[in-house]
Amino acid sequence: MTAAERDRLGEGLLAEDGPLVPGKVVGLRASHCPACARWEFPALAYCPGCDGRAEPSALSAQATVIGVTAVLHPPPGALVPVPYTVALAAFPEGVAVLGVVTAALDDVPLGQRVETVAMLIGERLGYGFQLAGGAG
Amino acid sequence: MDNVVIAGVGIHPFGRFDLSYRQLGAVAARDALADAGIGLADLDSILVGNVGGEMAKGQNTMELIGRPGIPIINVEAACASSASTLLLASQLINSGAARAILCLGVEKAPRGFIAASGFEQWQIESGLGVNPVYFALMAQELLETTDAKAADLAEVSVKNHRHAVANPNAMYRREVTQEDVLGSRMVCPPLTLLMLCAPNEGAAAAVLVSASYARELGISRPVRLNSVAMVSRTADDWFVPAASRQAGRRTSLTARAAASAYEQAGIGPADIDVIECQDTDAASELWAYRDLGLCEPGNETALLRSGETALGGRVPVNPSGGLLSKGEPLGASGLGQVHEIVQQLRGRAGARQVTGARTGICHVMGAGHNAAVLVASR
Repeated sequence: MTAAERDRLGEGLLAEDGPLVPGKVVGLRASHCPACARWEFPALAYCPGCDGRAEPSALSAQATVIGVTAVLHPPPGALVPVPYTVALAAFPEGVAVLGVVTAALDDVPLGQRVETVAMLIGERLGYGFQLAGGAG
Repeated sequence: MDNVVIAGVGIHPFGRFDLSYRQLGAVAARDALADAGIGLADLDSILVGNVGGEMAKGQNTMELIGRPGIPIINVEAACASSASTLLLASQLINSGAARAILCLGVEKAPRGFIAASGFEQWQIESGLGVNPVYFALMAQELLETTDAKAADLAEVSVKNHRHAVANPNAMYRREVTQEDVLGSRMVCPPLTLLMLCAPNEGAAAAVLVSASYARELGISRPVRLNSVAMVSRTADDWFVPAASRQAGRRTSLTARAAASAYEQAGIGPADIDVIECQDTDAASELWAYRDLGLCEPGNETALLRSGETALGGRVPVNPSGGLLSKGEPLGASGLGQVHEIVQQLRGRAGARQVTGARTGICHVMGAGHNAAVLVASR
């Protein structure tokens, strides 16, 4: 199996429909409310802010870390080897998303710029964050 | 809602036992009925809070005690399961639809990380289905935006473990030092093992009756359940298991539940003598100080350091030792809090008695975005 043929993890998390390889910079598929400009990830059909109808859209690739911790002991069911870093990354659209960062906790200060990448999780492609401007 | 009386409470200690959940639940249920001075035949219905059990858990538990033939209804709302039974029971009694209801919470949780908190499979496989991650990020926010230090987080655990020494129903009854807490295994920075509660086993129960039935039973100076308020997620709340939140704003489920409970009971934070709150982790207790209205935002650690939330202080928080010391049997933890508050209001809490306690509150917060606050007084 080539990397491009790998299954996606979850449904509709990544905005790109074409072939993907791990490490490729991508946008997350989210929803956007045209009435009140609120974004949600994963995408919702409605807007929790105004009860209006939301539309699918893609988040920017880059985000800023507003919270960060690490998981040091293996949680049940996780396919990411410990220790790993988890960040809450705020996108310019106004939504902040949890994701694994491909860097040690000490290298991910608050305010760090990260970018969303396709990440190999087990045998499937999900998303993660890498330090912006580097391979992580 | 002054029509609802907590006529009796019962508990099976929280910990690890070679007993089935049914046996644990039976102990608490039987003791609550005995404490209320009534039998199964006097009940209108039984509400059972449990998270991880099998089909018809309430029915299976009651089989060990008797077969009253009345409705037995199982409810689940993560750590707010017990509170859900109390909300429903109080509304049924207040409406006149019932005069006596047994609320039972029971749990036999596996060790370690709670595996199924409502996460999607992709979150679990991606390493994001981890409750302590959420608590750690909330703790970090407190450390970043107030003068709170890691030592303050440790002190919450020190205080609650000190309280638990006098509580025979707690799992951990040994005092710990700040060094013990800070030096224990790091789980999710900044939270160490001793800053997090352990999921465990136990049961607790309460018999709720109408005020008129309490008089019939000859209960003098009853403990009244003044209000139960429960809320779920609105637009800008954030808790387990949500994969995202709004970046610039976060509202508090606890603050909304507290405001509603206080308004219904006609009290304010200054009227509270004793509190049992959801100290899932040490930072959660400090957030609760703010959200329950005990202090202004940013003054959480000042309140902790003043000693006013310790036994002997103005408003002791978690005199039972809290979840940090008792452990957390998810479906039973809220009724465990009620057991403690009722003993406090009756003046029967022994060495951990809050002198002159007349008004107490309980607070729970659960996965799936549930929070509940109740007010009881005597």
